[in-house]
Amino acid sequence: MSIHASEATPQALEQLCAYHDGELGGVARWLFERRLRRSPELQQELEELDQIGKLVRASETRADEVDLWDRIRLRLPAADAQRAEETETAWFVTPAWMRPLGAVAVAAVALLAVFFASLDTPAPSGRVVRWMDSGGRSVMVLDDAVDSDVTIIWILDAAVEGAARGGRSDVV
Amino acid sequence: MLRWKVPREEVEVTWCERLRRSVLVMLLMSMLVVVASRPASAEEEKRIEVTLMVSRISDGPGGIDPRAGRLHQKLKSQFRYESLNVLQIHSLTLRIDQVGTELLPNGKKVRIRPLQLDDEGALLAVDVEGAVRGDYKLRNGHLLVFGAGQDGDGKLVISLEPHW
Repeated sequence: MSIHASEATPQALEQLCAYHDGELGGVARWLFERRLRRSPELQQELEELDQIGKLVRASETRADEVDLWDRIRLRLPAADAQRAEETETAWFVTPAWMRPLGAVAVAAVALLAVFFASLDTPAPSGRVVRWMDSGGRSVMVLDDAVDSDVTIIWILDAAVEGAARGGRSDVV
Repeated sequence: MLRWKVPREEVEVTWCERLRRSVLVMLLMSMLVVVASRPASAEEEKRIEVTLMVSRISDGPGGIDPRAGRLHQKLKSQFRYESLNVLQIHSLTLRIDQVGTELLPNGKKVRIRPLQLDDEGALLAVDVEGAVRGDYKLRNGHLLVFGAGQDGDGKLVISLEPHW
């Protein structure tokens, strides 16, 4: 870095650095650019500063890349090992010789499911009561499959339990 | 004419703030328009007519109430009683998930809530307070009868019949 004697004033150096770093603004920047255009030494000096800056940035980037890759590489074997361990565990339950049988069973179940799903079976009768809670009381459900348009749910009193169908006289 | 000059607090409203307010107002208005013009979903349009009949069977005189003809036909083969009196008849029109509540003569309540309506029938949640509650899948016109316990010298019978 050799600034001509006429240009190598501390003020010029300071201004050059400030210009290079983008710190000069407005009139100061315009004045310095005028001076820069007239001075080949300053131009060369600026070019050298640019080169140094590029080198520094390049070296920093390379350092980051190496560091990042190191981190990733450290984790890769662990992830692979974990995946392999999970695969081993999954197949450990089923012995190797049973695997084809398992596949056949799964296929058979799937075929049966498709077969039964394709049949248009009506909803089973007598499934009127889906859920019921009588709070601990005895309940009688009369849901005649033949005469399926009525369902009777009868709360049984202690004295009349077992009254329906054959014990009719005790109900009321 | 006297005019009171109310001191106003100067609030500087930037164009950015105005824009933000305008966007908010437009969003609210568009939401209102969307909600107002939204067609009712098929599930919301489904309505079930439930006829709820509260009766009392007993060994006392009184005969059979003609309004309870169908109920009598179903009950007479299962239970012995001399009279069947209809105490209340209610007609409820319920949407899916809408709860219909009626007060029984014994002070308890009966609640009906259609849960689902499909090709297989209507799934109704029925709560006869103090007696039984449950979910029942009923076909159109299916008669669901509850013997809801002692009522004086007789027995309270609640029957419901859904139609859609």
